[in-house]
Amino acid sequence: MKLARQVWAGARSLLIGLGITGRHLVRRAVTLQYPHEKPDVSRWGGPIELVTFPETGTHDCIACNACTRICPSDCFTIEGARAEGAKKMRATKFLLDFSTCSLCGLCIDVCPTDTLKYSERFDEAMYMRPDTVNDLLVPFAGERIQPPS
Amino acid sequence: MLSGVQRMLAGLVGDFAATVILGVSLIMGYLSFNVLFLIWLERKVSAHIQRRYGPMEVGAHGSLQTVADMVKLLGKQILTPVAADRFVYILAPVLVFLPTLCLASLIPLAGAEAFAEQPYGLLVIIALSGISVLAIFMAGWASNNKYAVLGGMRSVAQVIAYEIPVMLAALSVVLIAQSLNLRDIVAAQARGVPFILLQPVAGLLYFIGITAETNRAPFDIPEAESELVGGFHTEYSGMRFALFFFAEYTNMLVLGALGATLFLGGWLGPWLPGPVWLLLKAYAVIFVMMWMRWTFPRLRFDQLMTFAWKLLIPLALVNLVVTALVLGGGR
Amino acid sequence: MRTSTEAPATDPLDTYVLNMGPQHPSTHGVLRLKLTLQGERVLDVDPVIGYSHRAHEKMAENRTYAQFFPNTSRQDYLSGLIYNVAWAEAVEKLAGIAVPERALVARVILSEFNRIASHLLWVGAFLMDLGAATPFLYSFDDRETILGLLETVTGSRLTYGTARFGGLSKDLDGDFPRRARAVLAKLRARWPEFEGLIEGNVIFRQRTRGVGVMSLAQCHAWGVTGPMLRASGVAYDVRKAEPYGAYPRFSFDIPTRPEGDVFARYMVRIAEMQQSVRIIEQALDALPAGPILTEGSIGVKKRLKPPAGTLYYAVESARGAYGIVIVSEGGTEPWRAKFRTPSYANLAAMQDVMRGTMVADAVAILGSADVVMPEIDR
Repeated sequence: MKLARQVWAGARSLLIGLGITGRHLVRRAVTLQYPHEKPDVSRWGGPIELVTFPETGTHDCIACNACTRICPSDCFTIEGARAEGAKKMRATKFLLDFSTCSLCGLCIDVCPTDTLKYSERFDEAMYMRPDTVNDLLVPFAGERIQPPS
Repeated sequence: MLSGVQRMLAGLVGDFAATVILGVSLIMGYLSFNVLFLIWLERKVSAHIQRRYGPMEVGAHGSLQTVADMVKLLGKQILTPVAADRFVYILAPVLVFLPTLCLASLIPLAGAEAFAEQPYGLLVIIALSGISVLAIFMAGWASNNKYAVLGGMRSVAQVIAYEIPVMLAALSVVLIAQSLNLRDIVAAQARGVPFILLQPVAGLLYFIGITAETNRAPFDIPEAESELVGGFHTEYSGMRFALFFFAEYTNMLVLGALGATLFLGGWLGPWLPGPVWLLLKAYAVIFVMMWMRWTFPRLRFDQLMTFAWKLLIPLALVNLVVTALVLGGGR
Repeated sequence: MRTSTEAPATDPLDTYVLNMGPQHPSTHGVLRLKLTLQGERVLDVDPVIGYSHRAHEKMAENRTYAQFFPNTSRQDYLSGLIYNVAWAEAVEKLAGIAVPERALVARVILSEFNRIASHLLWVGAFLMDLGAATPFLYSFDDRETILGLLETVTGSRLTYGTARFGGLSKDLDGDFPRRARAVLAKLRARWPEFEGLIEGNVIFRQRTRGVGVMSLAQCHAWGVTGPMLRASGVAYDVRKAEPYGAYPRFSFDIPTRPEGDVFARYMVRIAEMQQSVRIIEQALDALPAGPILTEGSIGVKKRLKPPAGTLYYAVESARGAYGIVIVSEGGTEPWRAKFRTPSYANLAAMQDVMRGTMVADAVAILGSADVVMPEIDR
């Protein structure tokens, strides 16, 4: 009878479905238990930061403001000064408003000294709006304005 | 140990009162634990089917997570709609839960004792499960919400439609066991084989029927985001909402235990005590229900009703008639 | 504002308006549907859009061509890479910029992965609308591997800033073909599971077969493109009709189905994912060595001033035909940029399709349209 065949086909499809989920039931979970395990972020393009060049041990920002001009979202606030007897300017203030940054990478591409890069940071939650402004010169705080030799 | 406590209580308040107090406290205590356990089991089963872990933080492997959730739920503001029928509105969740409680006392746990034994136990059980239908509709109606009424009506139609295959399947078992008393039914299985082997169709129908009666997927239209709106419990919040789910999980256990009694041999089994076997079998039935929930999409309401009236009930009737013929022919 | 020509012809006391508000349990985005119901039947559907309007087209007038890249991914965040590449290709065509071979093939690979990821999300969300929560997790498991792969190439998972004029900003590393093939193997293992769990399932078939049928005339009237059109029998795909990039080099089929119902749309998207896998395999085999970006940092270090003119450029996104119109007056910023997004027409067609159906099917039909609100509102 056609009805019996339909019922049997329907029931069989349900059993096949149960078999598939049953197989998954006994297999290991694929999720990462976040606070206890951290993900691999080595290729992640996180908030922008200044490169520390191995030869000089510091960054190479010359405060040319190319990144400020190209940023579509007006994230940068940069000021620079030239030290006594130095040929190039150097950044004295480098703020990046991360709340408007879209991680597009145009600033990295336009920088003439290749001194910007993506970081690997990803858990950057904060409580106050002003905290979203990153001061990129913080890792270089102990430095006086000295041009790279 | 139990009888010792019973004797001590009987000395204080008399035999009857002692039995009542002891029975109610044991049943309520176990049912509360059962709800906590089943909610945890549901979350773990769904998690592992979905290749994740589920609750892991609160308590070992999330065992205390339900307790934490209950504490949160207790702290929620209880809202009552202004134009709701207050008395009915508050009574409905209680009334959904009470029949299930009565049912729990009727299921025999071990050879000698059920908390309340009845010569026509099965009939009483079926009659009691009809009361919760009224309570669901009361909840929907008293909410004074167009969509809650619709949800309530659908729920009622669903429960009524699926109770019939449950009854007919149970009747097929009664034909074989020659008794409506649950202890006799289990005793008949002790003499022979579990009735699931003799009545596989009835067993399947019973299982599908109780899945629909407890509003579990794929029959959970009344309680899922019901396409667009909530079901009969739309206007319930906080602890009242929790009471509906308490009732649902308790219902699952009781009907699962009933199924285990009718088809899987109740408390029978080697070297573990009777009640433990009964609970194991009931939880096995519940586990399959949970497995089904996380595998299948929902049936549309008209498909749900068609399935019951046009397929399950005719099948149940045919099964009943064939059983009767086979038994009568053997005489 | 409604444009439907059919008014509900029934007693107004018999009908009621149900609001499927901007906040949804389903994952369609911020859409408001005003359904006029009579009992269980939908008489009229009035979609209210605009909740995610962010003025992308106006922003295009105030940004240079390169500065517009972040906006592209955020129009349709599920086909973000396709849109990103489409903007680059449109401006390249306008300004006559050459693209190295390696970049052309790499763009195809990344776009097809993006398409698979988008369809996987749709499968999960659609099944969740129907009540099955589990396929969502399985498809997201696969989506994670794809997003992880794209993260190793571009640095982002959902909104990409990887395209540049003349290629891509970051190259594919040497290990990429091996990792990509591993992802493809995992995807191929998933197809039989979807078939057993979803396609063969009697409950799924009952909920989707014969539901929400869209005729060919309706497709033509509303300008429907993408899997919805192909599920109604028309083998139209921009990658074959107006070929672009490296697509002409690869052989692939356009899956179609004649029925035009929700089930057909599901089958078409599954088949499209399989065809995308096929394209990626051919592209990985054909990936040439060479530069990934034309010299000169066009648009970035050197501002781009395309010649004056108007250009229409279309690509096939996961949802249908995505068209970009750029009107240039020779300056560094476009005079006007207009984006023809596929979900706009697809959602508009839903007004017609959902009329006369049961309210219980409304969710299934809306889910099958695979609508992404941000690209409708832009």
